[in-house]
Amino acid sequence: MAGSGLARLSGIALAAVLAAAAVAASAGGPPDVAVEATYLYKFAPFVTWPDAAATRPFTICVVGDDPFGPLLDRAVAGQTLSTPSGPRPIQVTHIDTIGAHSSCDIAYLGGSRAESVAEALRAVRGAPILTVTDEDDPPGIIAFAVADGHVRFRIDQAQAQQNGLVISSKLLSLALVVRDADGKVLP
Amino acid sequence: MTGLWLSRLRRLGDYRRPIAVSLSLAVLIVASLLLAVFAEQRHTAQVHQAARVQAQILADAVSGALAFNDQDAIGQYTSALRENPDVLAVGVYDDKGSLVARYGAQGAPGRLEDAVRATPPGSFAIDTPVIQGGLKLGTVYIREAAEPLGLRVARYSGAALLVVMASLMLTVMALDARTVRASHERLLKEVADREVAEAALRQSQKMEAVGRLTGGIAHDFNNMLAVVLGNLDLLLRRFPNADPLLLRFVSSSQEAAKRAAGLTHRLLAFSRRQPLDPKPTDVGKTVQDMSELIGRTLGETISIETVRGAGLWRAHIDAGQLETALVNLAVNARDAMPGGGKLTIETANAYLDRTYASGPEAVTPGQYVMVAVTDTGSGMTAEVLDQVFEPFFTTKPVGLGTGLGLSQVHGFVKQSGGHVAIYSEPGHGTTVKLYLPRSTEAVEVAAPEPGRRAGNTRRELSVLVVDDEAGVRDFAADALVELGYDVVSASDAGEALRVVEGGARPDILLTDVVMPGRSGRQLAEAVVRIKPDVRVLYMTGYTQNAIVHNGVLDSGTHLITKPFTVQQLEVELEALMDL
Repeated sequence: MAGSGLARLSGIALAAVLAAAAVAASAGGPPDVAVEATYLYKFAPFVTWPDAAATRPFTICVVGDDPFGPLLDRAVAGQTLSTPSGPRPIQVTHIDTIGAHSSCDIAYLGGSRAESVAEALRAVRGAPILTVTDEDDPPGIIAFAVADGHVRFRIDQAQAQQNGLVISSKLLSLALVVRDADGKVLP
Repeated sequence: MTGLWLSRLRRLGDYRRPIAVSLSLAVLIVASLLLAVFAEQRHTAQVHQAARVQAQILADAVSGALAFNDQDAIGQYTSALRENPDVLAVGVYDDKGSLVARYGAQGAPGRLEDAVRATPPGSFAIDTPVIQGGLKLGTVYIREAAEPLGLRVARYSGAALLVVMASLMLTVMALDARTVRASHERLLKEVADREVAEAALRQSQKMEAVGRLTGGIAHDFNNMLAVVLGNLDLLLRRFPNADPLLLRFVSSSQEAAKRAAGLTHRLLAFSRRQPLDPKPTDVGKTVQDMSELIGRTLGETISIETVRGAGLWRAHIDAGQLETALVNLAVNARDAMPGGGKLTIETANAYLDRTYASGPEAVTPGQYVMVAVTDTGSGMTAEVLDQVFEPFFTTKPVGLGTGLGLSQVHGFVKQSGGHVAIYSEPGHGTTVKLYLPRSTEAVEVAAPEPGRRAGNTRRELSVLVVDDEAGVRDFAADALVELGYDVVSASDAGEALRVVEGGARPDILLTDVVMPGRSGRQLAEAVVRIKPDVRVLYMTGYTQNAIVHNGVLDSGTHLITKPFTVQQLEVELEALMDL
């Protein structure tokens, strides 16, 4: 009895250590959020924006609540996007609300009391901004989802088309679900 | 211009062919090696390029999946590479260098740094960054098996075989060229040798022809002289108390006839038809004995020195002929030194070896007694030297030389089985060397001078004289009657035999050697069968094989040389009967 109890005790201890290590690896936040933070800027090379001549820094706006904390800044640090108009460093901006004229290329809509996710989506409709939302929120062009314990995403081609964005087939092939321009849902 | 260059090139090809072939061989091998290395490098570069393209395609394909960590999708892409059997391992690493997906027995290391660092032998690795829109999303790593050495070698074996065959052909060609060149040189040498030999043969054939011609003429001439001399002799014997004026006419005629006889004898000597009576002769003594006579011939202005070689062998020659030869040589030397000079006669033993004997003139190697006659005279040019032994060839003014001196020397030495060599430098002098065969016989004691025997014993003896030449026959018959013999004459062998068979029993047969029908020798044999104790004395101007072997008398054969005097006949007959 004592032996089995000891074994169980040690098993719990091991689990605790592993959990601690995992937490340490994700720099404090929950694992999904850490993955999302690294995914967010990686959408950029797979999407084409209508303003090909833009030379300002490539901006990722976190609108409303920020679930990432320092994770996003750390992931983006030193990353530079090469575009037809030249290299564009990637930067992160935190704003409370977003509008059609906000200088954002990718907007993560966290939602807040000032502007819900749905309001934010409406505000940027037709603007050249790639909207990214979380699983439980109204879906933007890209909506995170968790499948089989992995962070994946859905893609709404209709919204992308409205915003004048073209999404690479490579990205589309990785999406869990793609809603095309006609509103048809493709597996 | 081009022609000149071409011929120059061809000449170069002729003389430097082995070098040219070796050079071509070296160039061929080096070129083929360089080509093989070049082709191999190109092939390797192509294989690497293909691998890089493959890695690039993979990197491009997996960029999305790598960005969003879709391991299933990555696995699908990497699995596609399994179709390529050369691919040993594939690894896809994320932007931190951690392995995301892999396959392969030996696999890809967990960390990109390790993968890049360690590439097992026999393979090569390619790593290509995965970049999308300027973002480095990770790295693709492919390791492929390098082509095994055996396969690589096999790829060039065909070409290598061709190179080897070409090399072999070139080598064979070079060897052939060398052989052909050697044969060519040998052929040239043989042709040159043959030309020399043919020239020598032509010369000897000419000498032979001239010899036959002069021999034939001399023989007939000699017979006529025999008649003239004999009859003059008889005339003197028959009329010893005639008018002195008449006797002087006769003796003048005799003198002239004797000189003519001497001339024909020299001709016969040249034509080698003169009978020789070789005996072991002390050549040194002969030279010594002759030197006084020669010295008198040479005159005041020419000194003479004789050098006798130590331990001189005896030579198997006719001493009389040697004396004649020495006189002939001395006369030539005198004529070559009109302003005075020195004549040296040396004698020495000599051995002519095989090397000397293999020269253009046929010489039997062996031991010889050499007699060298050297003058300090005007010498002779090569053209003259070529002709000196020819009869009637002379450089002396008309009337001074017979052109038979050296011919006699040549004929005598050759007939004796010896050898003559002549060396001459224009302006310095001439040396004539006679190589006389060494005698193997014991020394012959000088025969006592045959004394004249008085008495009438010979009157009981009968002589059968046989000669087809009526003049000779009649002279001989007259001479024999004069000497007191009973004489029966016959004009040929047949008549002579009939006489013998008819009952005549001659004690002596005096016969010519060469006659129409049976020869003198055959006649002698036939007579001996009928009357075994008959003595035979041959008369001849020259003798041929019937009685003489190579110009040497058969042992036991008695011979008198035409023309002869009554006294000579008397001496010979008495010598014959003394036996």
